[in-house]
Amino acid sequence: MTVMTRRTFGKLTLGAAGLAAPLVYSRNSWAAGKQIQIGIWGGSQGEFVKKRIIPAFEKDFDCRIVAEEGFTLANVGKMRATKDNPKFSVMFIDDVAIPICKQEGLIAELPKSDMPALANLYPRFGFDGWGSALAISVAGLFHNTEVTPPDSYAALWGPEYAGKLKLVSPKNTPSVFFLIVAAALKTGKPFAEAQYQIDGAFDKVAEIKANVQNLFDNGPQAANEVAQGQADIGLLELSKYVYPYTAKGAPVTMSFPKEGSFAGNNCQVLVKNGPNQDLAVAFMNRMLEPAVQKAFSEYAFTAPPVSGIEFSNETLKYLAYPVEEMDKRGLFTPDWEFINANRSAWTEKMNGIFAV
Amino acid sequence: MTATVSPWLKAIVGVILLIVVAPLVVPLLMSISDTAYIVFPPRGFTLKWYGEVLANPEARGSFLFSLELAAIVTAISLALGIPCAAGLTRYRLPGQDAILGLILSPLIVPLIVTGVALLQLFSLLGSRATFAQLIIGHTVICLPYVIRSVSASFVLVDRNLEDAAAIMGAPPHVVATRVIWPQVRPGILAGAIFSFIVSFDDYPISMWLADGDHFPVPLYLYTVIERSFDPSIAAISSLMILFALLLVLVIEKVFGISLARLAS
Repeated sequence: MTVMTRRTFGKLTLGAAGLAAPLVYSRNSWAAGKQIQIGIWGGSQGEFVKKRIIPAFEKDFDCRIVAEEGFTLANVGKMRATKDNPKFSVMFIDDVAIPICKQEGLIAELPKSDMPALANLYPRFGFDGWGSALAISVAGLFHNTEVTPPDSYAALWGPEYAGKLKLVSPKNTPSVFFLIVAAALKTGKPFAEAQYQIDGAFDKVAEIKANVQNLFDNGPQAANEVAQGQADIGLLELSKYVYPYTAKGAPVTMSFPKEGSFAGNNCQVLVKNGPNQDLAVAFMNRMLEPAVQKAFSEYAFTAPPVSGIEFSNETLKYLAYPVEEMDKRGLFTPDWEFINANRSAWTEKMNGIFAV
Repeated sequence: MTATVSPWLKAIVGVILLIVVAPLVVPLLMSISDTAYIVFPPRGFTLKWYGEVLANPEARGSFLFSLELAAIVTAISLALGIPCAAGLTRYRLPGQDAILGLILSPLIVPLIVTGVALLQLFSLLGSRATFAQLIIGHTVICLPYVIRSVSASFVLVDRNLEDAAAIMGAPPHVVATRVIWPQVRPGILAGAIFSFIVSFDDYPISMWLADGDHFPVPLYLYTVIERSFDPSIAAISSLMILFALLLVLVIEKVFGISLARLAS
């Protein structure tokens, strides 16, 4: 009988690891030495992608990923400016911009056969194959914890909120959510119908002006100001900008009035004709893998777009997950093609109303 | 005879200085708050935010990269700007006004437009050299500042002194170094300072041209603000204010030129 000593065990372990490592590397050897440039978001999501996801991916594929933090409009602008000779291979943008990118020929359809992780993607976050969501935030009200928030958006138009509200700037996507709320209140219709009647709701928008202390275009900064008591309530903002402060103990949290909430879908797209598409697709697939999605969601307080992820009850306090919970909360995603066609005119009207 | 300054004037200047300096004190105070988020007035006392910033490789990397970029851009802007300013002020050239207008045009066009135009150009040229692109982009916007300030100095050079030196037998290089240089030196230094600061602070050009490996401080600050609005942001701001003060002291002590003289 052979006795396995500690030294023998160590040798066997090293030997097994030595045999397995080449298998991992040979599987991904096609990527060795390749490099791609990707445009990601800033914020806690960008931080996690840069510090955790990319280093592990680079190690597994022996490749180089150069990530540049930005935001949706700038990332779309970069794709446009480099359309004839793309510099980026993958871009992170919000769902609002996907129809625009598709129409302008900036992005390519995802090759489903090369992305096994797409199997777990909820169909509503697939955008007909032109991208995939990576994280879902919930947009609603954020308020100081010493303030009792109203259970209906309608109350925010009341005189008791005079000068106590911070309103999202027309520059930011959640301002569209505010316009839909105003249209819903004016028409008495649900968000899905009200979004098509925004044009007739600007008198309702103007009525809230007396209650608005100022407009904000930086969510984390606005959440910080509400935490300090400079305003009672902010409307509307994505949970990913507010809950990190709540979790740190700042006196600010979110509430979701009875009319419903909005889904803020952060997505990834494949740049058309971008360099090293095979590596780009592998990276996009990695972003959707369960282990990555779980860690990513727990870090940024966003819900994953894929099924089958287990979270602790503490984490689930901040997430609308799984998809049944999203439906229960009435998470609404606007018709971005219609919104995009009208948004610049609405922005001008908003600027006209709130200009000092 | 020394003119006496009215106490009213002193008071007004004091109030103006207070208004200018007071906002700079606010981030200094916020940076020592022992809270997970920014509050004013600060609660508690800690220097941990400074420790976090200084220990953060991303922050250090961005700061050092911005210093390197600004120094290279300033050197190139001076190398191109001094001869250009001398030529434009000391000689009559065909199309002189058009040349000057072309050089100064980056000051007129919004920088964000210049940035996206440069990105398009580099993309069409097939360039992937991000650092070179940033140097070119920053030089485009810094050069006008150098040329403006150096041109002003050359215009004020007393030609009679040059003629006198030449008549007394001084060769051209001696006239340049002993007569012209002392007169234009403040303008060149002012141009260098402007160039360095414009490059160091630039956001709109860098936003289009930078990448993850070449990430200047203003872009880094923007991402940090989005990540978490905690007192580390105030700590970074305070360090930048201290850096600017240090720069002023170095200019005054090492180069022996006061900012008051540059501004006059």
